[in-house]
Amino acid sequence: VRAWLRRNRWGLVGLPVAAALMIGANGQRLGGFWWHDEQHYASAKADQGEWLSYSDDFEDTVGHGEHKLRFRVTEIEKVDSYTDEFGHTTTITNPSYEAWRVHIEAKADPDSVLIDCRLALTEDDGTRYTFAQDADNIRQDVLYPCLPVDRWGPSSVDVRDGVRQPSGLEDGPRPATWSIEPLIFVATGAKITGVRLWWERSPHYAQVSVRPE
Amino acid sequence: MRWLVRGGLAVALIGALALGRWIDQAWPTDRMAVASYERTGGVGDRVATRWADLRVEGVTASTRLANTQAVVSTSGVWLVLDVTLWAQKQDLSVVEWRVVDAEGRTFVTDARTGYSLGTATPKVPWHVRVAFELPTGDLVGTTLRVSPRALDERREDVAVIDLGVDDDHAAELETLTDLVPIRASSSLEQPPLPGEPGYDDVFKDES
Repeated sequence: VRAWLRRNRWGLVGLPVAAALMIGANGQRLGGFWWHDEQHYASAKADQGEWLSYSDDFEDTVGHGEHKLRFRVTEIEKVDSYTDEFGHTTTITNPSYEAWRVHIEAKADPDSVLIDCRLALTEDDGTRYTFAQDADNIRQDVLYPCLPVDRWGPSSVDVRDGVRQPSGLEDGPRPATWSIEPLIFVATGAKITGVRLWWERSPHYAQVSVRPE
Repeated sequence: MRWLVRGGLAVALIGALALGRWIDQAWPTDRMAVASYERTGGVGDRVATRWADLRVEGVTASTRLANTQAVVSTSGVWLVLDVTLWAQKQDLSVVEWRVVDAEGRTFVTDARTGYSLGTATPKVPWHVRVAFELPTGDLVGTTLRVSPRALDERREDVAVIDLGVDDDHAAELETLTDLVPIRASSSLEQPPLPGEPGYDDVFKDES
């Protein structure tokens, strides 16, 4: 037996390695169906009022890029109406919902691609209420909850001559600093403790702990 | 001694192969690895899945539906279900509704009926009215299957709800012809059904 062990020692050492490689090589579904399909960890954390930096890699037709910005949540407040850019006010009467206004200040390099950012309010039990432009008969003039209303900066979709073109309701580059106050609808009675920012298909996110009044 | 060891090894090897074959037959990978997790219940039960809780509130039928655009008729039967849905953990904007008849045939719904899910907010009761076009004589033993991805139930939680339609109930449903109003799903109640208080007011504004 000892002779057999000695003769086959490298084979025996190799067995667990081969098994691990075999399992790993079949693990692509873990990436596709699980890791990139859900959010797993906060890669940036801060308390209300503190600045934090968040970045996330992506690939588009131009090549490698980064969603990169600095931001802070200065305040979140419960509101009972929404006034649009034309001064028309809609009162929120549906008893199923509460609306929260999130005050965000942000800075980013004007070349950073930030379109398609997502913003949510979170509860401690893991429930996530994602920003939507339309909710409960209200259409906000905010389209992207982390960007200036009218100048969104470079777009991965609008690419000319290998350059991502600035996009938005108005021409021109995105300012270096801005603030925005999107409204997020949550279930009545929800205990909001966090504000979360991310881009789709990313396993990580930025999380801000908040203390609602 | 040496031959005994070799013989034993051979037997062990054949045994291991036989065991592997047995496992493969008992749990075939082509079926088991993609099987969905069925959460079952009946009408009135709150069926919990990973992505939402669902409760079928009522089953009715008609030959005509009225959405905000048009009246949609059928020569068969519109099977109409009122469902309350509570999205879990995150917003829900894609749900595949299917009715499976006693023979295993599948019927899907479409936007032509006036059905639309919108985006269901977590924990907010979401009132859904969904209609399926079935041939006459096919209602007995129908089941509702709901999954959170279009036509893909692999490895996913699926709600399977027995609609409890027996011979008498089916015969009764197939006599119904009053207009059934359908609105896009929301946190607001769906309009009243024929025979319910307020039904006559539903079409007043539109005529």
